[in-house]
Amino acid sequence: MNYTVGIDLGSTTTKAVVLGMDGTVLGRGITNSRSNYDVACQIALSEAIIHARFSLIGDALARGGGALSPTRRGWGPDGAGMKHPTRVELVAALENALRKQQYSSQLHVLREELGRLLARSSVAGGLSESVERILRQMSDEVDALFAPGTSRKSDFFRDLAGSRYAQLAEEQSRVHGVPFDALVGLFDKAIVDVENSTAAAGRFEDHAIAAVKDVGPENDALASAVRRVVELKLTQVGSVGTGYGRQRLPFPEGQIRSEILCHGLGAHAMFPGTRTVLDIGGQDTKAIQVDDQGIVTSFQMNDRCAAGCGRYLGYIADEMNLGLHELGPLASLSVRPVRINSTCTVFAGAELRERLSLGEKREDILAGLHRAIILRAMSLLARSGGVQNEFTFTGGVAKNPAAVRALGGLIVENYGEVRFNISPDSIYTGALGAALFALRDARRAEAN
Amino acid sequence: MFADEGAVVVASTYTKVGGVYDTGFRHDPSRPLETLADYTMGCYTNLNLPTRVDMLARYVRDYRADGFLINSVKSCNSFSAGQLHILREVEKRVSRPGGFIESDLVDPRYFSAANIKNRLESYFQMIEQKRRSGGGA
Repeated sequence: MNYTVGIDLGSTTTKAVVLGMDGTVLGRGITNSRSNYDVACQIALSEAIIHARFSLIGDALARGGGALSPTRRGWGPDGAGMKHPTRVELVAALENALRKQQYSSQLHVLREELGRLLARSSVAGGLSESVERILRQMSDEVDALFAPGTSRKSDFFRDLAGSRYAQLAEEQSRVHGVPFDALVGLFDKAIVDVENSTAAAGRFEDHAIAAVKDVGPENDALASAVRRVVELKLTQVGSVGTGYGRQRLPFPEGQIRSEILCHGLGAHAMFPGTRTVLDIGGQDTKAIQVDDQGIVTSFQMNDRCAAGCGRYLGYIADEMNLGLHELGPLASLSVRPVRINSTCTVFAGAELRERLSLGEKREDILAGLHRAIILRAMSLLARSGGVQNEFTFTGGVAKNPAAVRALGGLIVENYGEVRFNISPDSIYTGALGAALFALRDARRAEAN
Repeated sequence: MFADEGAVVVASTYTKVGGVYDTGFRHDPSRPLETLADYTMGCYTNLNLPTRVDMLARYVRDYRADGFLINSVKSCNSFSAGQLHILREVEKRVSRPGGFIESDLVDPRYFSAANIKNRLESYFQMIEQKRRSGGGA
């Protein structure tokens, strides 16, 4: 089966979207961008291919046999187009089982890397024993971590393993007197090699067969669907890269497109009525106007200063010792937002501490900060030509309820009522646009 | 950055900051200092906004340009004031897309090569995409 892929190499995360030749969304994948962009691309693509294979397994189960082909589905949450709840649950359980296999595989590589580092370490005092105790406990907890119905804070191995390792290292330090810094330092070194190894997560083929045994060994239809999908050869016939790090993508020049164009086309594909797109990402904010074909007609973006972008919220979260995802809900509790004039990332901490010292409540400060970010975005929107109906908000900040509320209010205030679109998969907008460009190029090449 | 995307600059207002010959002004050798003063007083940055818009729109038409770029210079208000209005007005008159970059002539703190490259690439690719779709640039 042929496919095209779009890869969006962002400053924080790298996303991939895989399309069938009829434009069907087959799969999508995401990973953290890390320092090695080539590996980030490979892992995002491999995640998207895994997701595509799961979609095909679901489709095969729905059909109960016959040729393997994707079901035409819109862009939406997992399982869009799948009607049978049992089947959806089965595929979800299978994917969960595979994630468990991947996690175990990466944990195994982490153990090897730590062993290698310990062999060279000059720090004495029970370091090896503590690392061994930590790893043993982490291995013992894998089943619980991936038990059905369990929610995980992140899908990235670095985040999941890192936070647990740090907790256990603290415990080791307290109980056995082993230096915490030395334990965490070892992890920080080892995780780089785990992340930069494309083989660390293991092969889909091996994991899928093991996952079937986990989920429903007696289910012949499932086993048959998995076997057929594992045997299915997926051939890449086109690729386009985009995003902040696109110059570093391992793609030929002709296969690289600006993120502005990709976001415009991606937003059009998700919501065909889109005329104005606002994307607030980690490093930049883009206001884009598109026509009825998704072609960009005008755009504005922030200058070199990343004030008011996603990273700014990241710094604020760090200063408040909160998770990034906790900022929006906390800000939503505010009843008297503070007026904030600066969204300078460099002075974010100073601004925050100044407000706290004046006795302002955390939720009121946060609400003011969110409004300040959105005011900056509103300026870019005005400069790009204003807000037209329909309006689509994309990027990581579109997941923040306080930002969405502030934006919605200011749009109504300045431009009146417009249809306001946010996809739960908005993070994939750029990658989707890139994949569509790749598909067009592939079709053009085929026609010639 | 222009060459990478196959773009060529065919006209510029920046070369008019000393004065403007386009509208027929010529020096009078018999009154050299007076006409030099007239010339410099009629420089681009002394023109009002409607005249600047006229000049840009004429350049786009005369040179059959695919678009026009405006560089906002942080430390030069006489050049940068009103540029967004100019951009919209010229776009309207010539039906060509305008691009916008921000930098500075002297202060490196306001210059980011990556940011400008990103905007220029996006702008040139936008023109190319419009051309391919048959909508003209």
